[in-house]
Amino acid sequence: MKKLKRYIPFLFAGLLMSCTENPPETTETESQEPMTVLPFKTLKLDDLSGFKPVAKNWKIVGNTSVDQNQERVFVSSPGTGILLNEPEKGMKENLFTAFEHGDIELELDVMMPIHSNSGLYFQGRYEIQLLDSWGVGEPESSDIGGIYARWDDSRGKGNERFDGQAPSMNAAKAPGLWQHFKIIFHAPKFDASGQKIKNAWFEEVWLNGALLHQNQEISGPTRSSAFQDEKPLGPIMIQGDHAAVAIKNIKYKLYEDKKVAFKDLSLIEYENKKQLIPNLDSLIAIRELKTDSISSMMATGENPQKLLAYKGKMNIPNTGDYIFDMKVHRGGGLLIIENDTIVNLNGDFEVDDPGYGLASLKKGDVPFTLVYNKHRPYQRGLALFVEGPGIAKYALHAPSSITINQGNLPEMTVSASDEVVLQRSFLMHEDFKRTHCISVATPQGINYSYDVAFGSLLQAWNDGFLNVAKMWHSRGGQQLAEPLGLPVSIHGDPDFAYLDNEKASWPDSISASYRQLGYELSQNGTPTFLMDIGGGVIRNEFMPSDTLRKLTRIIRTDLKKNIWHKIGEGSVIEALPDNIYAIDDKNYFVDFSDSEGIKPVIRQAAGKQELLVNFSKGKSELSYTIIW
Amino acid sequence: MNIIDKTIVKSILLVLPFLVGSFSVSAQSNADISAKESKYYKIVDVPIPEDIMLEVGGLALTDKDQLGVSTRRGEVWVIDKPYGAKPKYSRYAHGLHEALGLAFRDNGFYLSQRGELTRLEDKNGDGKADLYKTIYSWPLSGNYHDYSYGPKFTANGDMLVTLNLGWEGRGVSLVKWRGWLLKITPEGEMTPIATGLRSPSGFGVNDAGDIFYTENQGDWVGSGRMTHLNVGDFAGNPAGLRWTDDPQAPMKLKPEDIEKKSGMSLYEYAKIVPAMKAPAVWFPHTILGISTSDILIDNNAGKFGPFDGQMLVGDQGHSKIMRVAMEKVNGVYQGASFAFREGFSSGILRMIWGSDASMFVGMTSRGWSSTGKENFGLQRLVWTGKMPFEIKTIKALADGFEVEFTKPVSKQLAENTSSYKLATFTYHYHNTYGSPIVDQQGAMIHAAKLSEDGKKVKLTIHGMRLGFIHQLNCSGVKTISGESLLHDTGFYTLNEVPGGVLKSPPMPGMSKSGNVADQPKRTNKLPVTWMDGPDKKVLIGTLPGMKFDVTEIEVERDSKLQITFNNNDDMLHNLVVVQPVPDGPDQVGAMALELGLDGPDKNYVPDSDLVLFHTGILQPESSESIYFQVPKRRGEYWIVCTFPGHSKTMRAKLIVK
Repeated sequence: MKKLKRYIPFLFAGLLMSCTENPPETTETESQEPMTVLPFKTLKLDDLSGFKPVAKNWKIVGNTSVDQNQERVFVSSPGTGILLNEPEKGMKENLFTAFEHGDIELELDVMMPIHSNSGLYFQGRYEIQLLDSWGVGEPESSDIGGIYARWDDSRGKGNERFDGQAPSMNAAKAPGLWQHFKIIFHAPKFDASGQKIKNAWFEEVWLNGALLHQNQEISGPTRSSAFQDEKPLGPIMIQGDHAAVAIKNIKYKLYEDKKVAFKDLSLIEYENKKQLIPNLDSLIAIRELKTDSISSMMATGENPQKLLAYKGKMNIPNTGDYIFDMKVHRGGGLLIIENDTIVNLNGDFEVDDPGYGLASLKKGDVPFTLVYNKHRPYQRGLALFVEGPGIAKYALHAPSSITINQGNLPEMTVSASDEVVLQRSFLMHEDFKRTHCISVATPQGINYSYDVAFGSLLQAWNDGFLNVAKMWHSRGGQQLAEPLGLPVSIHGDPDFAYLDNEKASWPDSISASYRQLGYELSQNGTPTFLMDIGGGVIRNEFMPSDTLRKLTRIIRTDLKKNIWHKIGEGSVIEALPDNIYAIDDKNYFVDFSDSEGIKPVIRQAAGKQELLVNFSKGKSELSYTIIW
Repeated sequence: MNIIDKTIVKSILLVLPFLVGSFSVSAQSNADISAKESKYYKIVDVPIPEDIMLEVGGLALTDKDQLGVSTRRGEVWVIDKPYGAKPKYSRYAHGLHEALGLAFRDNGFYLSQRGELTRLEDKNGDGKADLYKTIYSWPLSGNYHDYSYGPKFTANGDMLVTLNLGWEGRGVSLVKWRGWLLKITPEGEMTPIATGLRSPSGFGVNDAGDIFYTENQGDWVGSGRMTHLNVGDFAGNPAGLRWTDDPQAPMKLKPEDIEKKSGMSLYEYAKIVPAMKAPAVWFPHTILGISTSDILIDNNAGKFGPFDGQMLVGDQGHSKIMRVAMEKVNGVYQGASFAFREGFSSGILRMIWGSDASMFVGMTSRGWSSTGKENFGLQRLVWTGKMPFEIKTIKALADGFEVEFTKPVSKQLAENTSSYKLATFTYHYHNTYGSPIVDQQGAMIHAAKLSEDGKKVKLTIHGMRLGFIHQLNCSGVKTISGESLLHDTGFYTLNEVPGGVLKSPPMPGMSKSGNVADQPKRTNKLPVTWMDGPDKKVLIGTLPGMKFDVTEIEVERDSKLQITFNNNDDMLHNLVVVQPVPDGPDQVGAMALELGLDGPDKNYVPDSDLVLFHTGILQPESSESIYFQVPKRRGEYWIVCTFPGHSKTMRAKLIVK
């Protein structure tokens, strides 16, 4: 990442500049990083006070896991932080939030027991389906993340369902894992007479990092909605009458239909070729005009080198914190509001350089100056976004002001086939570029990557295999292959190490005695990776499940002394029944149920936990299954 | 790309002394020469099925006379009946990382991937590798330019690999052992042998067991060249010296021991740095290729023509093959390079012998465009059995050269000293990209004496210089029947003379003139008459793959224009404004190529009315501004890079309104 270059801005006429040093009062973290988004509101799950009174099928618990041997059953322990529904006969009510919402951005984590079924109803009306859809090949609107169908008896038998929208892919994780939703919903809009003038729509629905819906309209309430009418506001309803579900980390932002408006906006265009913004008085003003929008296109001439200074007022709709996000494409700029420099991009910046600035503003008109220094003749682009109290982040610039060309790479992929497909490449793994990686696509559609230089499994995913354009187009400047799916990321440290004792910290680099030996392919092309570490030979093989997101790892060792194997790491590792371990706060499972008598060790390691297993000297074999 | 805040570096290329009797290589168009060459050596396509992306990285013949091909996309193909019109392809291996070398031995293939030396074996005999054995793994930086080449086997069964430097605006050795030649046993024991390598895509071992590698022009490398590498040798680019603290390193030299701009040639500098090895043979840049690749020694005992024992050297950018006649004088390798055959379909990376003494030529031009326009290709070069009339060898004498021809020559012409022209020159050894031709001097043929068999001429010469490249043109020599030489020029790199003492008297009066090439169409200063500065300023950069970053520019007729050309590519470029004729770029490009040795002096800009204005030749990461009055006549003028090989792709329209 390019570091943000900081320059001291020059003073220029009529403007005092100082930096806002006031830290925001409502940040969620103590981080020194500039705030890039306004904080969410948290729906506290210490008790049920955030919800309307409800029957006892809903409760607050401290931990949940899913019974892997029964359908729709949780195992929970007392405490706070998790909202749990366990419906019983005669006690299976739906749950409504105490707050009501119109436009909303909502994030939460959900856990589904086996074959369980629930739903998130926005405004109590418009449902995003919750279901254990793990292993479903072609998801429908009734699968998790689907916009559940509406129902109309009058459409005739068999045709009652309508308007449902299947998710773009099946992003479901296994029952018992936490699954992360991010949803931006817009309420229907009404005119003064109460007549609906615009349908409700889901702007974005994300599950586990996959974008399932984008700008999907819904004509009216879903079949099991709490209300049949449509209104500007309503509570979120979580379906409780079907089956068990657990939810945590509920946070949201409520949005109103308000915008920051420009008033008395004028533009002065100057000749300027300097990267650092000079005193504007020293520049030759070419023209001055009244305008109503902000755009880099206002720089006149062919391939101009100009400086645009917009001055005017912003009409602030609500008192509170505002975050401005300014981007310039190979140019410079400043945003000054009242007397504070809110964003300082004085110099030569690229689009991905951060240009965030926080301003606490009072309702009403505030004067501002926006400078765009287009000092490069062939580069153009200015963007200014704002997020405020009740105001979703949106663009204050004209649409044509910036086009961000991400480099038009042609589509180049490597696909799975009837036989196992391998491809070596560089790979990104948690922000590090790995250079000796082999990715493997199985006919079953499960893919994984293995770092032969480290002897470590890096990631596993299903769906598409690899995008290789960054490797095979022209010189392939990055030499990267990129998974065409959502990988579950494994720790990435060396998988095997000789530790002096059980407490010795895990090495983050390979031992001098490590040698990769390559791999052998079976009849259908399945590789077995071989390594020699200190004279011990270790063979790693990975077998996919036919239908589910499961990858079984088979390790065969022939050792001169005991060696440790690090299976996983994360904030929390939990031992579950049947010799199953949940890694990193139930991000994925490691299942040892087929390895009787093997007891991995959970240990603390520098603020996280690690799951290790020991291999004795001599020959041994172990298999476990990664489930996500 | 960061166009403006790069320091504006003045092009450092010195404009060179113009000499009385300046010469150039005889100008023959590419098509002409290729047609002539084809009478003796014909190029035959090996058909490639449409669905196979055969971006050749390595070639190896199997024990069943099948052709193994490794590719940049990581596949290994085995081609059955590769000599016929219907070769049969089967995929032997896949999933490798840019395999830029291939060898066959012990019923399996060996190859370099970016990060390791690998052995492939088909144990169950189904035609597909089922063992991908890592012989030795080396670290990688993640830089795309960390290419790895080989292996080549030594006589005792060890393997040699070479590791390319990374590129960060200059050659860099970001991890061990980038920039090195390594020896690796089949058991995986690695020994670093030599460094100073920059882009060592071609290397090989001769019958005596001596290792040679070819180098591409770049930083510290004035021109393409071939260097003999012994244990502990340093071949010139200091980036790899970073690792000489390692106990395995066979030399102690450090990068900082090497002056960035000594003003010397590599030969001169090697005299003061004992570990340094001067090249055995130079390939003058743009005259004999622009990016040398594989080395193949003719061991066909005459079945490939008259050059048994000589080396053939591929060139990626110019899609051609050069020839080297090497000799060993006072224990030091040196010899002559010649043009041999051009006109291949893509960029030549690999060459091996087929069992019928034809040559397989494997090609790719992805990311580095080549004169042959195909993205990749596989062809064979077959001797037709006809004897070409060529300079077979040039051998050094203490006071001249012995030149041997492939056919008996006319005694009258051969003994006429005016049948020959000789000049000597060298290149700078410095940290900048490439070098102009420097210290060019004419030399004199004092006497020429033909041998009794009519094939060898002993030339007595005044003006030979140790450490210099001797360009010997024999265009006046003809066979008894009047046949002219197919290629009339050889470039002999004189490191040593027999007996150790040069007995060629120096040329009188051959001091450097200090004159500069007068190029009136290049104006780098704001003309004093432009009181208000230019009417318009245009900034032009480059894109990878030899392109300008603009496709067209509109300017007003008769306006005052400033063009700033920012060479943000990793190779040399110029910018030439050309008249609005449809094939202007092609014509000017062809004329630039014909400048030959004078090319660098003239910034590869030919003296032609087609040329209106131009910059000098620009180093990577440098820029130059030129000023000119836009023509009054409206039309679609051209902006072209006339650096040899670039004009086909590196062109844009200058539209005068």
